[in-house]
Amino acid sequence: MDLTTRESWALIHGLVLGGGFLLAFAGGLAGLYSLKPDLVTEAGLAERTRRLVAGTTAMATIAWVTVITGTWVVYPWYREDTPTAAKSRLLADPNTADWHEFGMEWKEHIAWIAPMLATAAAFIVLYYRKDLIRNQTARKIAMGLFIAAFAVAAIAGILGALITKSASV
Amino acid sequence: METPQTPTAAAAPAAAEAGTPMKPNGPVAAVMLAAGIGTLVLGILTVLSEASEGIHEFLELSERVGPLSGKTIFAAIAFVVSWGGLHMALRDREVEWRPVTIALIALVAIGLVLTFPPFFQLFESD
Repeated sequence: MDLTTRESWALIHGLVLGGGFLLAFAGGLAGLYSLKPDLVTEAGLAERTRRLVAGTTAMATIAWVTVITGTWVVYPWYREDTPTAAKSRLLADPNTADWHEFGMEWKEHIAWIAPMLATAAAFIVLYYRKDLIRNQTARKIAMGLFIAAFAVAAIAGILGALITKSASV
Repeated sequence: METPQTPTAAAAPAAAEAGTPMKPNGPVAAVMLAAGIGTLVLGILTVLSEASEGIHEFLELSERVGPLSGKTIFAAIAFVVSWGGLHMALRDREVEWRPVTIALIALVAIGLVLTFPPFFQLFESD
């Protein structure tokens, strides 16, 4: 069982980074949601803040790495000007053309919104750190940005998986 | 949009309780608006690339990646530059959360519409 270079990069882009993104999101969201004065002790706040900083920073970093590898490593293989390229194969069949015309066209753009939103969420956590518990409006905004980043990335990720199922790079 | 150096209504009681002043929220407003601006720029470039062959070619910074290279690089630059500029302008200020949040939601919503294929493909040039 061997993986080609392309398969390896597709795996790194979709599964390794995607899995890391999901993990960081779950941890970050749980931390943000429960960051309320009546739920956290003073000692717990320091530990919680460290985890929150790590989770949100990881999610933002992973989001940037995912879109950069997707756009600059995997996407050029997808759109190569050859009949065997994934894009050419999808467009050659009217039954699969929409996977490119709608699916890939949406995915390649919407995915880039996720790192910007995730960075904003991470910055809020990094800026306030322990004080975030005292600013519930900022906490809710960070949570909203965090969820929005995940939602956007999820759309791109699901489309990517379905496109790869129809025509892999 | 701006008010003088006072904590937000929601944060004020907690800040007073803790006995230390809350950091100004200007830097947070800056990154929120920058994320919205980056998203909007991505959307605008997506539509322009579809509507104009000249812009399509201009955005093709990399032949392998195509116009997506220019759209994403310029959107990322817009995010970083606007973040830096807004951060400098708002770093010591306390701003109202509501208008900033509304602006962020509006900018991201417009960006999402502009990057939605059934919308931007309406502008496809022949």
